Amino acid sequence: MNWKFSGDRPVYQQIMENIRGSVLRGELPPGGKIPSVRDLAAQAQVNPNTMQRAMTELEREGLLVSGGTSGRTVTTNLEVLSDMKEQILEDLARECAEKFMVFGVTPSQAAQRLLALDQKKEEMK
Amino acid sequence: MFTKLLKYEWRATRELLGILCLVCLGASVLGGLTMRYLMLFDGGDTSGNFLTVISIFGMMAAMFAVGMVAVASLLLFLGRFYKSRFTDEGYLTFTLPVTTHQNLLSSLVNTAIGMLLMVLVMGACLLLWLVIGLSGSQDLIRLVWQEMPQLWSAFLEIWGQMPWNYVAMLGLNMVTSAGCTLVMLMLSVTIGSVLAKKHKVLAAVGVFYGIRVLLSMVLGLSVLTPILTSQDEQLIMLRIIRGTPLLTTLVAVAGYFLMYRLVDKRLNLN
Amino acid sequence: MSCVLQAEGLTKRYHHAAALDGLDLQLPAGKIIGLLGPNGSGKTTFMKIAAGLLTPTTGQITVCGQAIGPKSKALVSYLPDRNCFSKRMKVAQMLDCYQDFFPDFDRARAEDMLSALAIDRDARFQTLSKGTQEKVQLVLTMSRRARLYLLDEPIGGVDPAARDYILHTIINNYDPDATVLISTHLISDVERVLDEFLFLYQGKVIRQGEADAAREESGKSLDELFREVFKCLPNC
Repeated sequence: MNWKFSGDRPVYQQIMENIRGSVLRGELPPGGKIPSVRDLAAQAQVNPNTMQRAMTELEREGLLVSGGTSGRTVTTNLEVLSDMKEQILEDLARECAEKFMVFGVTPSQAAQRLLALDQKKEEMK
Repeated sequence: MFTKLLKYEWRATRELLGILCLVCLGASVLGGLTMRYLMLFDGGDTSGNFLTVISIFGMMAAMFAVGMVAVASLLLFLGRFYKSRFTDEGYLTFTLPVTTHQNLLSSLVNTAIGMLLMVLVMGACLLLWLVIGLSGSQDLIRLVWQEMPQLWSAFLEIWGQMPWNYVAMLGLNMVTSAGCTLVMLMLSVTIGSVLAKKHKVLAAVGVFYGIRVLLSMVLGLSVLTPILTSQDEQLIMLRIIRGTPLLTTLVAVAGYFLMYRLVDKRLNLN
Repeated sequence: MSCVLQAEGLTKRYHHAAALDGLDLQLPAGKIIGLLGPNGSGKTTFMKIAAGLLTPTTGQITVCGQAIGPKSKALVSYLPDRNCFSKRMKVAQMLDCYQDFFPDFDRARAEDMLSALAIDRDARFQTLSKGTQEKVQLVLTMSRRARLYLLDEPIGGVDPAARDYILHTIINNYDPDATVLISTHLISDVERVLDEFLFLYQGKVIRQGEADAAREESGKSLDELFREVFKCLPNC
């Protein structure tokens, strides 16, 4: 996991994004074990309290499941996972649209550009 | 905790102290040998003899060295006190979980024991000096040996007649005076370090001399008062001999508490 | 949650100025807290008072309910911004010294850390590079199981790799019963590790709070927030 943080957003939120990303990319598979708060905090070089907060929030969201003394695991609930993926992709799209808007490019114009990119890639093959 | 502090104080000073002991020993051997040479060649026409001149210088050097060892050992302990409490090392010393009394007393006790040790070592070395120096003078030794019984009985006579309480008091005087001087030295270092911003060592020296002047005035009073308030010679002597150690001890205790107060409340390491 | 340090109306006055001016603050247990402020704001003065190296002019300060004295010193582990060991001491001797005087010293942990740094136990302190000397002092300080760690400018004047090591050590050493107070003016390097922060100015706390809450509220990093708060103050 790439643990880079920017200082102007709450660290716990950035940790949560990182973990969601890892789950989506398959680095943390559904049902897989999550390292302990201490270990993960050491890995990420963040305050254990902050890591704890992030984990608790992800548990609340349903992405992580507490196994009591045996630690936390990623949920096996496919619905939760697909909902999360949906949410992330939607946020990504909105962010993209906002960036294009700065240059006066409407979402449909932006979509055309993305399509053109895809075609170019096909031609290169 | 106090014994641990003492242990560390001792460890910090024992190496250099050992070196000073060796210097003292070496100087005494040199002094003894030169003395032996000079005694053996005494009475001949030795003026201008190169070896004699060397011997005389050697003996003077040995005397100087022994004197310096005494001064150096005192400076060693005071230096340790200053360095470990009032320089950057103080950042560790004053954050140790010990009381200020334990802190100060460990240095005081270590210095007292160390100086006592040095006195004993120097005494032994001087004895060695004499033994080596006189080892060649057969005539002198034979003479002393012959006279020994007479000397011994005369000594015993004087021994029996000595007013022991006076001697004890004199001894007490010496001990309290030495102890008081030690406290005053440490107090001077403390005042110089805590109150002076620059030139702390110079300030300490200045303070020490100021204290000495003050003390001699106070002591003068302790001697003068019995003299002025009584005609009886014996009584005067008694009062002086009894009063002085008491006064000296009081001054030492007052000095210690002043040092304690300064370190406890006014310490500002930089 | 118990309180590890409590200061009320803490003032330290010198002839020319007041280094601390009626400082009120409470440090909760189990947090890593940043004491942030420009030079001369009183950070070092405050730490020295808490460590027992300085007495306040007025005001109260207690560490875990104890007044400052031998008992509080046994609970506080202080890392000053200078070398406080005799230069001729060997590293092993420094370990012995800490073990002798501090019952909470975890020698095994200190040995592990020194081995990981490949520091020779028999080396005399003066033969080590400046960066290594600082690391040794940090290892000794953090190997104590204290209730309050006071780190005075621990990352100033060291290279980025050493900085990472220092922050790594602080995080790994985390203890929910203990508090770490880090004083620094290199905020951007340290802020991701902080639970809470205190902005100190001319001997008073002018702003404090939780790090993430401040970021959420202001949309800025602590570093940016610091610049914003302090740029409009005189003598900065």
